[in-house]
Amino acid sequence: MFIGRVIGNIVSTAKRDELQTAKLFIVEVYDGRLEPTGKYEVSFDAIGIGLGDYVLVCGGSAARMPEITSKMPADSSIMARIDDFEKLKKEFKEV
Amino acid sequence: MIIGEIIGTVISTIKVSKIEHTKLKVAKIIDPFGRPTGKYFVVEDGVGVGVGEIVLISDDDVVVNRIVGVEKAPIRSAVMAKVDKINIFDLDNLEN
Repeated sequence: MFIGRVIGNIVSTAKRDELQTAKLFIVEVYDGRLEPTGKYEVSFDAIGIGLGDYVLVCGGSAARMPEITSKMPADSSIMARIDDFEKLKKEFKEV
Repeated sequence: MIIGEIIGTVISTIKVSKIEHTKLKVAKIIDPFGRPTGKYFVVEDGVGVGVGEIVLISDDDVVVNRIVGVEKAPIRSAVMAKVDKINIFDLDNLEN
């Protein structure tokens, strides 16, 4: 599981049937110091997030645990939205 | 899932019988801005994509096994979708 930021989305028409209802977002991966790493991941949306949101992303078989993604071939899903990222980052720096 | 660009086709006659019907392509892994990451994958293609097209690739064994439709298929990565457009937003300079 890692923290990331939603920076874009993907538009696709020709895809496998199981993906028809999937919402796909590009998440920039953040490291333990809450700085961007320059790595990106395409993730399934399991909660309904928006652009620019800081999120928690879960990979592996756990990505198919939420009800929305259980029928989809998900290998990486957005599980939660971080409420106050700036506050979190400030707290990280103080520790 | 990761983003890739199809750069070639693998032609192979002698295969494990479980994957006899599959089509195999070579994909160059790129980031959302189109920069190559230096990795290359051979992927199963069930969507029907051509050379030069941008695709989404799954690299999860369970997902790919389910998608290929053969039990215990010896395949690890597969094309999931053809990408029409990747929207990246400059979030620090949004106008509205």
